[in-house]
Amino acid sequence: MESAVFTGNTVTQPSESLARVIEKESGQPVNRCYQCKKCSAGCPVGPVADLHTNEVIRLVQMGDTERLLNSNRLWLCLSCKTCQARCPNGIDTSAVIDVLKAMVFKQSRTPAERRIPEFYKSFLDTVNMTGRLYELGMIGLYKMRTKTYTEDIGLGIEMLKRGKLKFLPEKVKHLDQVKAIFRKGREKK
Amino acid sequence: MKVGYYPGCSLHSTAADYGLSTEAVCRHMNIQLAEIPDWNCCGATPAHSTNEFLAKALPLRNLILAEESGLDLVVPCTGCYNVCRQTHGFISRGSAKSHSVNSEVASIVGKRYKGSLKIMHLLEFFSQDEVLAELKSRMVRTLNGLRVVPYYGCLMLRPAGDVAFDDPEQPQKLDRLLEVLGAQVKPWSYKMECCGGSFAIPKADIVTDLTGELVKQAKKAGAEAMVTACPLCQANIDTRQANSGMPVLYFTELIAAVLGLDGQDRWLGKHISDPRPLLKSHEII
Repeated sequence: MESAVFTGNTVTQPSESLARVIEKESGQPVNRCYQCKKCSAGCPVGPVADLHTNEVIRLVQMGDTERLLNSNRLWLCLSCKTCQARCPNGIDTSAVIDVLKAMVFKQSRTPAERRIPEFYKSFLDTVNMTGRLYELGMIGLYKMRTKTYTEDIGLGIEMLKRGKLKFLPEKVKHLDQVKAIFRKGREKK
Repeated sequence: MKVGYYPGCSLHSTAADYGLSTEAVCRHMNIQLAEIPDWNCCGATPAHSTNEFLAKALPLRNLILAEESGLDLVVPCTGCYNVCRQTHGFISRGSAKSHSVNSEVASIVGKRYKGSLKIMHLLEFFSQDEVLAELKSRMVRTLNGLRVVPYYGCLMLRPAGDVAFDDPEQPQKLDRLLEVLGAQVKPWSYKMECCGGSFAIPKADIVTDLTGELVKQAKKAGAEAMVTACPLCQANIDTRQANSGMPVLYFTELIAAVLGLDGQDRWLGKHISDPRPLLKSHEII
């Protein structure tokens, strides 16, 4: 599990400021981490992400914002909270990762994974439009944005046949309230 | 008995089988489900992954609406349950941030969340002694030793401080319930492993790998079916391991079976991997 985070040529000074920002925003005591790697051992996306869970925390302590914000690990995190459940120091790395993802958006950077943020956006767009998730609308938006028109067509038809995808959306009556929540959310970004 | 009910978006669509079987079982057992009026989507993973305010404010509107009824709130969808309980915990701890979010949502909805709700997962609700006793008294058949593995998934009990109603590494509630129904519950080490959650569409390869391992391990444990209480877990295994011959059932579908309810095809017929041949072979339906 050793990787370039610990061996590479990058020279970074431990950064109090990044760790402090992350602690404040996520509420997680990142400076307590002593690299036992229980988090990484249980992570379901460990084999496909470019950083292990423990490395995320180490890079936060080191203040390596560039490596963190350009990592696909942020997007591949499933928020299953296995890391949180097993951390002897009470750190929820998925909560740290949520703050890092928000930083990617705040700084108008390009996320290191394309499809996952497009999926999130398409999902929330339909919630903003109707107050509830409208699956068929979300799939349409997502496919347009990612140009993945033909993927899973057969499966989609099976779901439609079984009534597991609905043609029409359900709409919340006080949609103005949901829209006002979305407006406030955008202002805070 | 009357409880508040937050079905969430899935139970009206991709988990319609879970929704229909839940409603039918509760109707039969005289449990009145009072749906939160005008509920909205909880925001799920897409909200907390992109916008902290949305992640708290969307579920908060539902909690405010639910609190008005004065009833306990029962949530069948594990994703919704997790988000509701985490938001309840966030507000109850009373930080400066939580006061500010509560006030901002109050300015939109017209009321603050007081934090008085008791929020229960549907599995927790059915694990209560009095509900289990009522269930036992109404059983007309048993699962006849059907070999199953209980699959809790990742979101039901984590983070433990806010959401757990059972041990977060070695949960037993679903095991006990299935034993009451007459199943042969097989031990396995994958109860709490993640199915790939919200990646079903954007990263199907990851979901296929994770669910493939789950099905492999369930078979190794000797199971004929997997039983879950989460719409994402069910959908991910059912759609990405459709040819594995491993049906994935909601626990409410098995309750409906032992109660001998009419019209079970309405939900059992919605699965991609049809569980009916297996249930018929054990004379459960």
